[in-house]
Amino acid sequence: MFHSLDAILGPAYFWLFAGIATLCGIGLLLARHPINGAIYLIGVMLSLSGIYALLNSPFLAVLQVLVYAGAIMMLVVFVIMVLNQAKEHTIPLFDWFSLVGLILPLVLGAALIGTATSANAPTFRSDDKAGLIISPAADQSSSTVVFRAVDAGDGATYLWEFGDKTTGGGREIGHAYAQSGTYTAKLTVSGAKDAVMNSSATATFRAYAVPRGEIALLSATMFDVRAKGPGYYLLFELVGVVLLASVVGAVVLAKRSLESASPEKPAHQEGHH
Amino acid sequence: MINHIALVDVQIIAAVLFCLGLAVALTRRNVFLLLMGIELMLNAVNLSFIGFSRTFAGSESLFGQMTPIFIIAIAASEACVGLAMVICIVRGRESLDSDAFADMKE
Repeated sequence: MFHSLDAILGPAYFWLFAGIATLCGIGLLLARHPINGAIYLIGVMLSLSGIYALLNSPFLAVLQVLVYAGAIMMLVVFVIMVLNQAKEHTIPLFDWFSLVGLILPLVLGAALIGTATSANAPTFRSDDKAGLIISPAADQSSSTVVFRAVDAGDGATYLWEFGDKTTGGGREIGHAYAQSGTYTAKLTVSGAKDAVMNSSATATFRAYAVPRGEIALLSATMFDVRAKGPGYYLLFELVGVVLLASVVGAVVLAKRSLESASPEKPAHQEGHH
Repeated sequence: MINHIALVDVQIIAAVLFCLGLAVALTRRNVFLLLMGIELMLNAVNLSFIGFSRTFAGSESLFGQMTPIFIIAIAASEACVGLAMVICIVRGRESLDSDAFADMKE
């Protein structure tokens, strides 16, 4: 029951956030004053944060609000306030010549959306007449692989061998694999009135035992230095080293400029750390 | 578990946002909106990365979620440097029109 409710609400929330993001993006394009544009952009960033959370990336959702909507947009709004001059109203909204530049985004958008919609979910279809269709990407949130066969007519029975020494029946069946790996599944159709449908087909594909983008796995490996495989800790160490180097560099530069400004007395206050 | 969100839809939204950002950066004359258009494009790329990261299994999906962290850091530094340049140039020219920035080498 819980699952089915989420199955309805997940896409609904996604389309809500996507709609807000798109509308705010259009608002940014048509904004009269940069401060309005900044508020629209904050709307885009907050709704994108919601989409990240829906896509099982809670860390990036937090980072999006913290860094983008918090720090960067705060800086932008602050600078707009500082430089707020009456002259801004004399700048035309668009340079009419630059509207020619709209052609590029329109063409690019049409091409990108066309490519995205023509590329369907990866399904492996054997060329056998039984029409075995295996779609490992059918359910992104679980490790279940969905197997589907074409309708072989009345009286047909479908026998699936999943490749991990288990079998199943039915025209459409889901199977969860205990271990990730490459499997070869086999479908045998028998008893169909149309004799040409009584055949078998195989398909090889990769199945995942771990659900995709699993939060439990993410949080377990995020800060664990001993964990094998990619962990976030390397990134944090890198960023930490860069920050440390920039702080040291800033102190050294500040000291040098202080000394060159007043060479007779040594600089004894750096002021910031 | 939520998520019966089709990954194609995520990519379409990312494409729409990227094109909106590109349109803002190309057509608007105010230099602040130009910078914000670039930020919007970076955000759209982040969304695309996170959408694609869900096509991998648990531990492998970290690759797709790691790149947006770099992009966020780059966007933060880009905003700092860009706004500092805007302040410097506006001090001299008293205009926020991007046409006033055309002859920076003089």
